[in-house]
Amino acid sequence: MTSENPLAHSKHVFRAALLLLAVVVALILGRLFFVPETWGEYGFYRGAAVGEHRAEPVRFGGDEACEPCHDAEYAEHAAGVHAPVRCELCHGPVALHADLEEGEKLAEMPVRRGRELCELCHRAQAARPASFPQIDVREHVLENGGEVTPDACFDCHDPHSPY
Amino acid sequence: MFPELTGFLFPNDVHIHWSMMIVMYPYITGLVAGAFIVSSLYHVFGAEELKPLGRFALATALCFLAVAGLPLLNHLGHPERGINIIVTPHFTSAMAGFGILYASYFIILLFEVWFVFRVDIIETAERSTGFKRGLFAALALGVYDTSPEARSLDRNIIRILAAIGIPMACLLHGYVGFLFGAVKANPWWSTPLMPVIFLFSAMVSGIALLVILYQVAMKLKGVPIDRLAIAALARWLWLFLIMSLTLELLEIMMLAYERAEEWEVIGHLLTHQLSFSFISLQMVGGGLIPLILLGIVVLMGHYMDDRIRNTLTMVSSLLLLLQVLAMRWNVVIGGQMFSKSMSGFRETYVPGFFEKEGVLAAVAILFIPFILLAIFERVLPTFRHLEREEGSV
Repeated sequence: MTSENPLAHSKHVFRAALLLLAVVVALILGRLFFVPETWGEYGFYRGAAVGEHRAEPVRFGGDEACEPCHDAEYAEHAAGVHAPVRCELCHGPVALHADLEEGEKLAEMPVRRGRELCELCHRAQAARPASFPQIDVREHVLENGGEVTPDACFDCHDPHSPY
Repeated sequence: MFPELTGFLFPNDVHIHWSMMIVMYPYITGLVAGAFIVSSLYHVFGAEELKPLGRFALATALCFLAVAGLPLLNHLGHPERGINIIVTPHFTSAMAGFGILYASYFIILLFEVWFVFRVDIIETAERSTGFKRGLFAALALGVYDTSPEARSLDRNIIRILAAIGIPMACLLHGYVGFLFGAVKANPWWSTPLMPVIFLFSAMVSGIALLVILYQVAMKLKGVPIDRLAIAALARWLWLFLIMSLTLELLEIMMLAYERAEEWEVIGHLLTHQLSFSFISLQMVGGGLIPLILLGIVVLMGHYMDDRIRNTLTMVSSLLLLLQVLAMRWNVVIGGQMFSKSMSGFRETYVPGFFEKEGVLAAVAILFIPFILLAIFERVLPTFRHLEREEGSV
C-alpha cells in the first residue's frame, strides 16, 4: 500500500494547488469586473473621467457675470484694492444664484459673513510677503476700540472696497 | 482655527493629514512580520525550543494580517475603492506595492496555515457530525490522508512556504518603511535606513506580542509556561531590540553629526514637540529599560527562578509594544509636524477620542485580531500538537 507510487499521498497537495489556481483565475476574472472599461486609455486613470468632467455644467461665471445686474457693486469693487479678488471667491458660484442664459434670478446669493473669510488672506503669517496687509484679528479689533464679534471686520471695512 | 503655528510656514503646509490610522497601519503590519518570523524560526530554522509557539505564532500572524489593511480603509474617503489596489497591480507608485505584496503574502500565509493545521482539520471533521463535519470536510478539501507519508510531505511543503514567507514578510514590512523612506522632500523620513529600521522594530513588536499572548494563553489554559521557549523568545527579543535601537540611534546620530540644515528643525522636533514620545518612550522607557531587563534575563537566566524570568520578559514586552507604537507615531506624525520650509512647525496633532480616525477607532481595530485569534483557537486549537507524538508540525 505504501510507496510504489510516489504521488500516492499527495492528493491533498494537488487539491491545494487547484485551489490556488482557482484564486488566481478569480483574481483575473475579478479584474474584468472591477477594472473600469476605459481604464488606461490615456494613462493610469479612467479615460471616460475626462469626458465626464467636461460635460459637467459650468458653475462659475467670473466678475463679468455679475455686472449686468450689480453694476454699482461691480464698479466699486473694480476700483478698489480687492479688484484682483474674484466676486465668487467670497460669494458662491453664480450658478447658485442666477441662470445666465435665461437672464433670471434663481435664488438669493448666499453671503458668507465671518471673519474667517478675511483671515484666509489676512491672518498674520510669516510666510506671507511683509508688504501684504496681515493682522492678528483680536489685537487689531481691540486696538481700534472695536468689539471682537464673529463678523467684527465688517463693522469698519466694506469688503467690496476696504480702507 | 490654527492653533500653535510657530516659525515660518508655507501657507499650504499647515495641517496634519496622516492621522492615527496611518500610525496603526505600520504597527499592525509589523506585528504580523514579527509573529511570522517566530513561527519560521521553528518551521524553517529548526529552533526546537520555539515549538510550543510554532503554530500559535502562525495563527497570530494570520489574524493580524487579516486586519492590516483596515486602518487604511478607515482613512480613505472612498474605502470601496480599496480593492483597486489589489486588482490593478502596477509599479508606478510606492503605495501600489501594497496590492502585490499584501495579496501574495496573504495567500502564502493562508496555505502555510492550511498545511500546518491540516491534520487537525481532518481529525475535527472525523469527530463531528452535520454541518460542522461538512465545513471541516470542505476545509480539508475532501482529502483525509493523515498517513506518515502525507505528513512528511506536509512538513516539506511547510518548510518551503515558510522559507518563501520570510522574504515576503520582510518585503511587506520593509515596503512600509520604504513608503516613508522614499519621500525625498521630508528629511525626517527620507533615508535608506527607514525600511531596515521598520523591519527590525517589526521583529521586536511581533516577538513582544507573542511573549505576552503566550504567557496569557498558558495562564488561561492552566498549562505551565515552557521555560526554554520563554528563554529563547527573550534571547531573540534582546537581539532584535539591540539591532533596532542601534539603527534608530544611528539615524539620529548621522543627522546630528552632519548638522545639515534639516537638523535645525529635526533637533528641535525631537527635544520639544516629540520629547515625551521620542526621548521618554521610544528611547528610555521603552528602549533602555527593556534592554537592561532583557539583558538580565539573557545573561543571568541560569540563576533565575521561572517566575522572575516570566515577569521580566512580560514587563519588557509590554514596554516594547509601547516603544514600537511610539516609534511609529514619531515617524508618521513627527514627520508631518514641521513645514517643508524647515523652519516652522505645523499645528499639533491630538487625535480625538470619538472621531472617525480617533483613539476609539484605533483601539477597536487593534482589538479585532485578538477576537479573531480567540475564534481561531476555538476552531483549531493551536497548542494541541504538544500533546501529540514526536514529529508532528
